[in-house]
Amino acid sequence: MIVRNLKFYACFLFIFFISFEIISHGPSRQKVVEKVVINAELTKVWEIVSNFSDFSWNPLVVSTDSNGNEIGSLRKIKSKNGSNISQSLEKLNEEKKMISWRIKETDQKLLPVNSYQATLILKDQGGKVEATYKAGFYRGFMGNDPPDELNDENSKKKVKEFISSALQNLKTILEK
Amino acid sequence: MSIINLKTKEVENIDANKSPLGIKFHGIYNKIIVSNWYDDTITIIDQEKKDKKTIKVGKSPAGIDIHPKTGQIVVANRDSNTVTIIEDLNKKIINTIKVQKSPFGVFFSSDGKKIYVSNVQSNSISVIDFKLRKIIKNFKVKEWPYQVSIFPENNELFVSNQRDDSISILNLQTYQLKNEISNVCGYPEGLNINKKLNLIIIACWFDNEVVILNLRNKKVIKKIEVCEGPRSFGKFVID
Repeated sequence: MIVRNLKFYACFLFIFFISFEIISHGPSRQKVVEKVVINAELTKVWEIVSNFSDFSWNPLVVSTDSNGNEIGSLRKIKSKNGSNISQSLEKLNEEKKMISWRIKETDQKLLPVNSYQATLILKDQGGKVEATYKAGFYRGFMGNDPPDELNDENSKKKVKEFISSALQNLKTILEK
Repeated sequence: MSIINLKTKEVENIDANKSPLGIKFHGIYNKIIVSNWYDDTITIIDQEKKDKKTIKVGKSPAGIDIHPKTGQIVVANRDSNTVTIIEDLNKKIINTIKVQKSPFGVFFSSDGKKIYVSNVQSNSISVIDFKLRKIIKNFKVKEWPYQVSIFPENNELFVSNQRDDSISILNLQTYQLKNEISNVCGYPEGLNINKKLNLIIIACWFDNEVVILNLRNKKVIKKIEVCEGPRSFGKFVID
């Protein structure tokens, strides 16, 4: 009963607060969540995604130049179109099968984002693996009236494409 | 700005200044206080008299709180790295205190002796002695602290760290980190406690859920799915 009441008030009041945020607060933070189920062993999938030094499972990436696989390590990835992105490793949790990184610098043509953080979590699903890849970020242009290519819609679209293609390719590699 | 009558569910709309962000009801003056993000002002609305007053504060005002006994208003000015204390609403007398980088949330202790400020970019909490109008301590928490909630009986201060998916718990006597609840949920933002029900209630922006923890043992009791992108930095749980 208590919990049901809380849910009612929570939903009700959150709408109230959100309405302020959306119209007022400069760019709104965006999120993208993509999932894929991979027919492979959990350890095999984890082995690939936990290796921060190698992001080749993302098909848009042609090379990864990294200084390690520890928290704080940096990697510079080069994409097919020649754009670069620098990322730092923020979390690596073997037990929870979770890895998280951040973008330090990005080419806006590839990923038009600010304050981007991505997390990948793996869950065992009875012999298969559910991989959830999520990212929180702001659009490419932080001021008001962004150009079309750096607005919320396009920034979100680019992140979605980036993440989806990586997950699909991960599935392809592991199910070969 | 909309006012929702909880009993009748009727909505009353009031013209606000540019980009209202924080909102708080002032029980002593019976007025509504609103911070206007792009306007660098606070609006004081007298709903009954249909009267509106504006006070200039620092850049990008966000969180607001009100002294529980004497009614002074404190406002966090995110892009000035300051908090403004409105000492006298009618005479518009203000005091400015420099804090750390990007203060967003401000919270009075229940006895009104301290103000806690969450500094988003410096990943810290500033403690202001209200009598001295001075910072007495800054302490580090995790990334992007957002909301603070206090459990005075246990000398505990809870901080939601948005970008770290965690909650820091500080000892209010020693100002030392007492505990940390990691991986609580995705982007925890609003954090309220309910002493009567013994709960910590957290709004999780990324995961579209409200997480409820036991206030004593800090264990998760339940995760409730809610609407898209729940956010709040004020009091959102009714006692």
